[in-house]
Amino acid sequence: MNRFCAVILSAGLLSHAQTVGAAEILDRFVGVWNAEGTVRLNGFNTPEKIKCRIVGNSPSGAQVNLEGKCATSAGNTKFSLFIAQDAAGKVFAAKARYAASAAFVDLTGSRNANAVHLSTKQLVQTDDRLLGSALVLTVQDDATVLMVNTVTDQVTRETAQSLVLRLARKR
Amino acid sequence: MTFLVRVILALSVRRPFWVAAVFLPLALVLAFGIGRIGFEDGLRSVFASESAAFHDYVASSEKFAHSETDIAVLISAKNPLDAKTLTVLQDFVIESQFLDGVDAVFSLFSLRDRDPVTGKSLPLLQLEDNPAGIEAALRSVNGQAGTGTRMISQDLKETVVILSLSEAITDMKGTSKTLAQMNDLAAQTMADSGITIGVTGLLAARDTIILGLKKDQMRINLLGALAGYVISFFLFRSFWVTLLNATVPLSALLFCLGIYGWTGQSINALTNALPVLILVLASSDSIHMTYEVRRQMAAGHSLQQAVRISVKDLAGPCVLTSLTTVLAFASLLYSDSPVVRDMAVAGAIGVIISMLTVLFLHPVVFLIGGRLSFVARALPLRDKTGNPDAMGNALFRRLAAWPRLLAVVGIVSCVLSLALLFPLQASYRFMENIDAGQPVARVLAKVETVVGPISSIDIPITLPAGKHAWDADVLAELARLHAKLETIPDISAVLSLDTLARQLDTSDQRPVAVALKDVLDQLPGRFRNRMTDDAGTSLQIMLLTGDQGSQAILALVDRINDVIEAAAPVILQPGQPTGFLAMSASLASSMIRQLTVSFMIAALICPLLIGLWFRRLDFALAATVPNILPIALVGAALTIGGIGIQFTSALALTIAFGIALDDSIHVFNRLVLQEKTTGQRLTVKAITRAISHIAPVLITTTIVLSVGVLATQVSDMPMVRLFGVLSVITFVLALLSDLFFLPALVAQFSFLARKDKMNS
Repeated sequence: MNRFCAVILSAGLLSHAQTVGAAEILDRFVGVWNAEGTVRLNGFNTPEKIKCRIVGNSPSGAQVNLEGKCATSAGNTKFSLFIAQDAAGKVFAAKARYAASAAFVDLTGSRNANAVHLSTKQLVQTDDRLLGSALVLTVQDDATVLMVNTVTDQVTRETAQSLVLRLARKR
Repeated sequence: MTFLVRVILALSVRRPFWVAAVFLPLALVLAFGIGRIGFEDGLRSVFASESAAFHDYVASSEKFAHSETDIAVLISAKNPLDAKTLTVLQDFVIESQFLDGVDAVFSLFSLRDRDPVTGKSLPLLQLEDNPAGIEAALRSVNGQAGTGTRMISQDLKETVVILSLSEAITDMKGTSKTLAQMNDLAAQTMADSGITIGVTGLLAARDTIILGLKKDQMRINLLGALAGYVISFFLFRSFWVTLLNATVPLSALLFCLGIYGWTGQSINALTNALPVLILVLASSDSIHMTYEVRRQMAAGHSLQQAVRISVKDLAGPCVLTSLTTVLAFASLLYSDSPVVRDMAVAGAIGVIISMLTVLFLHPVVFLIGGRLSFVARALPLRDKTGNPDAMGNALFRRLAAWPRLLAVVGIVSCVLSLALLFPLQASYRFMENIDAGQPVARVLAKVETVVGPISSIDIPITLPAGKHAWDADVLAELARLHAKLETIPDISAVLSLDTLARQLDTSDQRPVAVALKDVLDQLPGRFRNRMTDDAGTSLQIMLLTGDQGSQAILALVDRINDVIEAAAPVILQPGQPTGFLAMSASLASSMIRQLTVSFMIAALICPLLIGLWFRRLDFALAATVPNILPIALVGAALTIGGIGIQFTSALALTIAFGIALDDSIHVFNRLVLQEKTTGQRLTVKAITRAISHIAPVLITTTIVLSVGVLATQVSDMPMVRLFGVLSVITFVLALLSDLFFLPALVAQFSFLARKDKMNS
């Protein structure tokens, strides 16, 4: 579970088919979310089922804070994601932490329609791989967000979707 | 005493409506207090003390995680677990981690295996595997890394999931909420899945106890009140007199519970029977006073005169009987346990409230109620068919022929019983508070069949400065100690860092410290913390064993210490074995001994108080044997029967002693009244006459007390039922002692007193 934490990145927001404004995109994250999907420990291991409960709130119009808990059948971890945007709403910065004991990971990126693409500046070393990570969040509709994290082995150039998570808004 | 009687006469007798006007709003305010009464099991806090054993336990709990914060969930299927049921189980395990306070989970899905080709750590169970692969994986589960224990039954139909709760949530309010959520989740999972789910563990047991306490308060008090009413009805043979009489003890109960609620007193496993005790004590005093009022009215006095006489004649014995009971409760203050001391205070306050309610309210109820014509008609005692003085007169006259023999028999019986009672065999098991038939107990028994005992004795180990848990020399010494501890009989399994080290792949080229840390990282935090602290500078060895009772656990702790001493570790610095099992066994023994000392204090002071009250040394001496004898007999029977003395029995005997003295006090009071009336000193004939006169009332009040306390038999908690049974046996034996031995002893000591006066 901790290794999963090391490679998953936080993300910005993706734009909807009808392009969502910058402030509106951040607002889309506010609320209570149930999430379900698959995760690969260490990026490339066998996919395992994962569920999350996440709560998003907005300390100010240009920021959103997501916190919650994620669990697989092997264990659970805390989830923290803080996203901020620049005044023009084009450049996004984020801090993510996927375990209470882990350090925050910095991410930067940009928005493309209803999707936000983010990547880490630093590479992550696992047991036997040096990994780069890219996270894409797509706002599919008012009640659904898709989060996909892809890792790339910097040596072999092998890629894998280490996290696929569907967030459904809790009514 | 005179002052108190004057106040009662001035207020309750002369101005009953004024007193009623004060009592009614007070009753209303106190009734709201009842809703504020808290419920807690008290079975953990009972051991909170300044003792070394409790300090060790707290210190160890701060460094390491313990099994007492676990909830064990038993999953049972009709057929061996397959992909379908495992998928349902997997969802259950994931969802359970979202329950309030669940910090970590350990199940089949936590187990990892190393891929021999890639070297990757993979889940042992791959649900997309073929059935044969799944079965092979399940069969390899037991003895896998991280546990050293079993996780699945031999027939592959049952498995256990361990949920570890965060320390923050282990106050029972939070735990109850989590358990309720767990039950909902279990119900959802069980529906249409073909599996059954049962929940157990120390926290679940404590929750069951608290629910039982709440149910008990309703049932026991209601039944006690009903029983008291029925008995009184047979005695008084009048609906209205019985109703008036019943108002007084019910009011005493209301005031007592209300004050408990407003003062933050909670009901726990030890104080559960306190309210019904207050009820029956008040009933007993009230019956005495009602009987006296009716007797005086039958003799021709008006209602007001009859009430006045009953107050004057019976206020003294009522106060004295309450004082001896208060003293018996107060003797419990000797205990180191804050829960026992709280019970002492709550019991003493309850008895005082009961006494004041009876003394002040009884006259008010009868003077106001007696104004109604249909009540006034029923008041005078009609039954003149039997001469109460003749009750058993022939029997008591016969007994009075051998006062010396009876006195000697009483004293010798007492001494022999005490000799059999000591040395004390203290006995404690946490699960003694739960019926074996309760779901939490049945599931625990099954869980321990599947995975073995889930409770443990824990050995905290400090490492010297500069040393860490995964240093090679530390691990080598740990392995030697671990192996020696495994040889102790009654230890089901030993769990330590060495358990993980043994599971390391021998083909792994990495240093042991690196490989070990890797395995540790894969364990949930709270399970990792069972073997080592966060910094890796302390270790813990858990010895899994069943709770066989405090005596067996203490013997096991001695054997563990012997093995550690023989192993003579150089680097490791093992501390005193601790954990809830060891701590409770050690402290229960010392606390039960303290309760015995409490009883001895009460046994010495109460007769002294009687002697001081009546200013009669002969009464003080005579009161000792007939009241210690019942306690000694019951205690000896428990010891000889191999049951031993538990918390509950020690408390029951101490409190029952204080109550059993009531009979002796009423006998002494009758003797004093008789001396005043006849102007003559006590003779055997006079004593016999007094006993014949008082016997019917003593028998009636003993029946009221016993039947009321027998209401405890509807409790789900075995210890509450035991409290009731021991109390009733003590009351009956005390009655018999007072009827057979007390007259003889009074005769003997009165004779000595007269001889002394003649000689001086």
